[in-house]
Amino acid sequence: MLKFLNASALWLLPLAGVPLIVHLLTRKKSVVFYFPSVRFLKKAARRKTFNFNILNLILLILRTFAVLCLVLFLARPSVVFFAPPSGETAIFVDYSYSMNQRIKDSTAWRDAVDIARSIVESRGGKDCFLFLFNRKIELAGGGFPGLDKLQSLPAPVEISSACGNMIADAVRKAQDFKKVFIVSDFCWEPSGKKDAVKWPEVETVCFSLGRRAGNYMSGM
Amino acid sequence: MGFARKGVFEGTVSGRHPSPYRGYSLEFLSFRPYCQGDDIRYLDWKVYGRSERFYVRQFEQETNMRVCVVVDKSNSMDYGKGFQNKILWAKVLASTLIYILIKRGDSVAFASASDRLEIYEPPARAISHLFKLLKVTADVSASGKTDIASALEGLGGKLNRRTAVVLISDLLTETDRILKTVKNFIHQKHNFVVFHILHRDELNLPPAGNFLFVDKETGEKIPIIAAKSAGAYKRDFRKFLLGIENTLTNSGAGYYRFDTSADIGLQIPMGLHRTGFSYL
Repeated sequence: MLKFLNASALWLLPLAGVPLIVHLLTRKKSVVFYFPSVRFLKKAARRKTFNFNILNLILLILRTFAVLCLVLFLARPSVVFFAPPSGETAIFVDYSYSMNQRIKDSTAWRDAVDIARSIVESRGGKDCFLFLFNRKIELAGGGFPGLDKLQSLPAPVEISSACGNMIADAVRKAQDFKKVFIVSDFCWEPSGKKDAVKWPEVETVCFSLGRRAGNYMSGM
Repeated sequence: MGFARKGVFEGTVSGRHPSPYRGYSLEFLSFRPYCQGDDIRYLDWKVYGRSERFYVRQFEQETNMRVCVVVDKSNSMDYGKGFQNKILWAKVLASTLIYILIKRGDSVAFASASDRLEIYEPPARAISHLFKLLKVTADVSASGKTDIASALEGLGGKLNRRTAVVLISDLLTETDRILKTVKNFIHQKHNFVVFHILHRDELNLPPAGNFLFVDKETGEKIPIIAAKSAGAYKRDFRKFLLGIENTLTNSGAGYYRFDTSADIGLQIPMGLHRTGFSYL
C-alpha cells in the first residue's frame, strides 16, 4: 500500500497544471499571412506541422511529469507491504543481546515471549502483530503464527541500536495501530526512550524487564 | 518605338504587320499571270520583254494588328506591397502595351477577368480610345475568384478576326482548363501570349516564421512553418511553373514570367522580345 509521510504536500499537486497553462499562454501565435493561393502549401503543411505538434506535446508531458515528481518527492511516498487493518495491536518485543540477562530461573527473553503470549491469547490471536527489534525491526507474524515463530527463535545475539526511533517510525508509517505494547529491558540510549512514546494518538503500554530498566511505565 | 507580333493578321487598314491577303505595297511577293481586270500599272514590262507574256507583280499587303489585352483581376492578384503589387504590375504592363500598340496604329481591345469576363472594350485604334482604355485599366481593382478559363471562353465569342490575345495573370487556378482554352484559341488561328505575374514570396515563400496562411480567394487556412516547408513548396511550385511554360510554348503560345520584385523597365522589353514581339 502506498502512503505519504508528508501528505500535506499533495496539496501542491495542482501545480502539475502549471506547465500546461504556461504552454498555452506562451504558445507562439501564428502570424496571419494572406497568400495568393495555398494550393501548393497543403502537402508541405501536413507533414511539417505534424512533427512540430508532436515535439511540443512531448515537451509538455515531460514538464508536467517533472512537476509531479517534485510534488511526490515532497510528499515522501512510502510503500507499506504489510498493511494491517484498523484497530490493530502491535507488540514490539526486544530481541537484543541484553535480553539474555537472567531473572531468577528464567531470562528476560523468555519472560518477554511469555508476556507476548499472554497479550496475544488475551485478544484471541486476532488483530495483533508481533515485531522483533534490535538493530532493525522485523515482523514476526500476526497472532498465533507470529507467536510460534517467536518461541522458535534462538536466544538473541545482536545488540540494539536506536530502537526508540525505529519503533516510532514503524508506528507512524503503519498509522493504523491503536494500541502498542513494548516488551523490553529498555537498555537503550536515552534519546531512544523518549522517542519511543511520542505518538499521542496511540495507546502505548511498556513492559520493562530486568535490572536496567526499572519500572518504565512509572516514569511516563 | 513600336513592335510587331510575329505572325499574320487580318487588319482593317494598312499597317506594319503581314496580312494573309495580297495587295500593293513596297514588299514584293511574287509574279502572277495577268488576268482581265488587273491594274496595268502593275504589269512587269521587263518580264514581258523577256518572255512576251504579261505578268503582274504581287505585293504583300501590310495591315494593322488586333490585340486584346486581358488582365486577371481576381483577389490573388492583389498581393505585394507598393510597386511589387501584382495587380499594379499587371495594370502598368497592360497600359504600356495599349499605349505602344495604339501609337503604332494597331487596334487594341481590353478585357478584365476574374471568374468571368467582367469588362470588355472592343478593339479600336483612335487616340480617344487610347485614353479610354488607359482610364479603364487604371480603374481595375482586384476582386472575386479566379476562373480565367471561363472568362477566356466568354472572350472567344467576341473575337471574330485573328487577334493577338495577351493574358496578364498569375494563373493560380485550374491550370488544365486554361491550357485547354489557350489551345482552342490557337486552333482558331489567334495568337496567344501569357504574361505570368508572380511575386517573390510565391517563388520562395516569406522568410522564416510561424505563419497561418490564408488563401486570399477561398479563405482556406493552412498553419505552416515557412522555413521548414519552403523546400517542399518550392519544389511543387517550380514543377507547376515548368508544366505551364512547357505546355504553352509547345502549343505555340508565347509565355513570359515576370517577377514583380524586378525592374519593370527592363522586364517589359525582355518579355515582349521573348514572346515573339519584335522591335521595329
